[in-house]
Amino acid sequence: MTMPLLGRYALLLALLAAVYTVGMGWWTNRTHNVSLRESVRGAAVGIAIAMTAAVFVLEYLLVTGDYSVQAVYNHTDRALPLLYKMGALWGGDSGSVLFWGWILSLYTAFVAWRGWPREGQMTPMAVPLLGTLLIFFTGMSNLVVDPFHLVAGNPTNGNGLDPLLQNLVMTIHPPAMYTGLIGMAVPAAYILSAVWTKVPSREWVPVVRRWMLFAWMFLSVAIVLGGMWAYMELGWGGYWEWDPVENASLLPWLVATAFLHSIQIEEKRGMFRWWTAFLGVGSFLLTLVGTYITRSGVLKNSVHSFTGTGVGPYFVTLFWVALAASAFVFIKRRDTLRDRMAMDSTLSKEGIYLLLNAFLTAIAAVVLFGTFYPIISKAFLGTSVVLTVHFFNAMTAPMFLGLIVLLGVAPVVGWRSAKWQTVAKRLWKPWVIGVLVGVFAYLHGYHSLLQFFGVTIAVFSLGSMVQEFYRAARLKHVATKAGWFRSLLSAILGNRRRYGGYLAHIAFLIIVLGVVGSHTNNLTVTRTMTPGQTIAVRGYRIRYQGLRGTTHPGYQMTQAHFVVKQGGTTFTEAPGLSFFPGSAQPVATVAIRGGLMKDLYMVLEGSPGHNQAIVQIFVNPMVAWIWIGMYILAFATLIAMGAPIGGDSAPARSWEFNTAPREARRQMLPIEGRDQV
Amino acid sequence: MIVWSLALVLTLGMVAVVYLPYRSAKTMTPTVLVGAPWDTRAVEANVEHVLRLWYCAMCGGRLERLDQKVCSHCGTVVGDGGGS
Repeated sequence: MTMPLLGRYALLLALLAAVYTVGMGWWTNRTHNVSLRESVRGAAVGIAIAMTAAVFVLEYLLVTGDYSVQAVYNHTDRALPLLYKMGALWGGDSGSVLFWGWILSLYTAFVAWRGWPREGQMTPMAVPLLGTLLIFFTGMSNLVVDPFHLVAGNPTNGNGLDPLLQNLVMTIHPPAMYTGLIGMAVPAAYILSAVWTKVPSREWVPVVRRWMLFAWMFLSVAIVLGGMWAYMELGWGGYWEWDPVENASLLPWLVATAFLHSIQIEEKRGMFRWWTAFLGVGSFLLTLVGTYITRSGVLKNSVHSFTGTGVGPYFVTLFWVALAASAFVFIKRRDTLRDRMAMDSTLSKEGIYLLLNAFLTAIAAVVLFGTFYPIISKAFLGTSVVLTVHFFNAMTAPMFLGLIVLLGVAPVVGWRSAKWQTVAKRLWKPWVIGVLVGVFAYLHGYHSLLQFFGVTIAVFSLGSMVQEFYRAARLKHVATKAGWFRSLLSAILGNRRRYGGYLAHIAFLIIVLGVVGSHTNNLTVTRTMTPGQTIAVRGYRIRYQGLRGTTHPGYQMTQAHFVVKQGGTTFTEAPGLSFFPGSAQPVATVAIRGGLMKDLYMVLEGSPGHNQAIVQIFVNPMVAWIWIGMYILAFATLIAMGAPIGGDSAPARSWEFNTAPREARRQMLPIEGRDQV
Repeated sequence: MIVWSLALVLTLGMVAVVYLPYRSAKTMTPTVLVGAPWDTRAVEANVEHVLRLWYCAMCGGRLERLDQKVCSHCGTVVGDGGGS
């Protein structure tokens, strides 16, 4: 037996274990046979063992360079550094389907082994649901995109990895993305199970919220890392282009964000039950849509073109089956999804969250429509029309601004109903600060409506968030006489969910300010420079020294060397062009001198000869704010997830115990009549 | 040889992880098979929580006593849908 055959055997065992998990899982749900149910838990863990073995075998083949295996031959070569050889696991369709399946199997094993004792009502159904997905992934790996498929002949070297992917960020981005995307299958499975088995909210809300938070954190980081890679590698000075593959990851993120807010209303007020269930399952369905967009090659207008191996139709089928199953569960159990309370007032936290849900869902709908427009226009107009960044920016920016306003207002609006005078009284300071900063920004080049309002509103919301931290710290400081820092820490640790969430909002606002700032006052110049020539670009004096060629394992590089002076600081930059054998186009190596307020970004376009260099120089303001925001976002989510289990749930409300329709009827009556019910 | 050994280890591991839980569940006493006794501590803590944090549904004000008939904040009668 050879190693590829061992890998195939492991995949077969995984498929058999998945079939057992699903078949026996459904059977034990009907018969309540405890010993068989325990074997189902074991089988779920067995899938993870087998998939881990398959992944380890493929990694072994990649690292040792067994080019008789197609996945190794297509994506590595002898000269590739070890890190990228290992990262080539997710370089192609076969490897990435295996990787997806592996991560899902780890999630399923955790749910089966740790989750089952705690969530005993839901897990017996959630595990077979996840097992059904695993049948799909292991089936794909066994039958459609075999990662251990052999090539003819006995090649002694491979095709190598796409030079654009030979980047540390691009090694981290796919695992983070997959962990986030496939992680949304777990809360979806729990929601369907909870709705079907009529488990009370109190039992499933904390479980589902944590799982979704975990997946959302990874997805958020992955999306920003993707932008970081584009900024570092593609050489156009930007980080987001509303590319179909970028949109594919944004869609589930938007819906999951709405879910994380909506679930609070479900928990505290028994409302938005349809919204919460729909958003929770919808985020997973959108990951399937996103996978279809990415892997099928149906949208040709993407820079992230993955050469499809025909997996698209399978993911589409999975999407329709999952959609049908979810719709069946929701319709059959629609009674359990009826709201237990009614909204008292539009100006209330519930009202704000409803608007939030609407905005996020609307943005997702616009992005989905815009992404698929080439196909829609081809079908209805006969010609494929690609919508540009201007469409997406124009349509989504106002809604994002609306979201940011809500973000700033929500903390000071009470549950059930609030008075606008109270809200205004608590928010006037952040508004004043926002307007002042907005005016300052306007005087410094932020002239367009979007730039001005973007800064004003983002700073206002930031002020509102900081105000909440200040209030909490002040209460503790007055009560305990402790120092301010200790008081702040104590306040955060006393309610990690709330303050972790607020910190995540602050991180989001920092990213927003970075996005607005990076689209304002940026500068691009292209020059042909001769050695010794100096140019001045916005505070930088850039002197060109000449071209130098270097040989690296697997490629040749030509670099243009510059000495840059900025104020009293002197540093060197060397943008280059890398020439890979077998690749028609050279790959640009961008030179970035990052700073908090601006980046110097240099790209070598080419050389007309005589040691001259054609260089494109960008000065990009505030891009670093986006990366900083990402780190804070991840940290904040960890704080929120660190809230003690059971300690962070809302106190029980009478509507959970009393007859719910009576309360709902009472709420519908005019105020005078309520005491009569 | 090594590969065959790995395949054997993997197979045995898979069988063990499916069969052993089945076997250990089967040898449990009938009392245990019925299901683990409920952990009533969580239920009691929850009820305690409800009793301590009883809010008026009309005004959101906290009610101080279990036998309280009228909300001391807004005067709504408790029990006629006046509890939250």
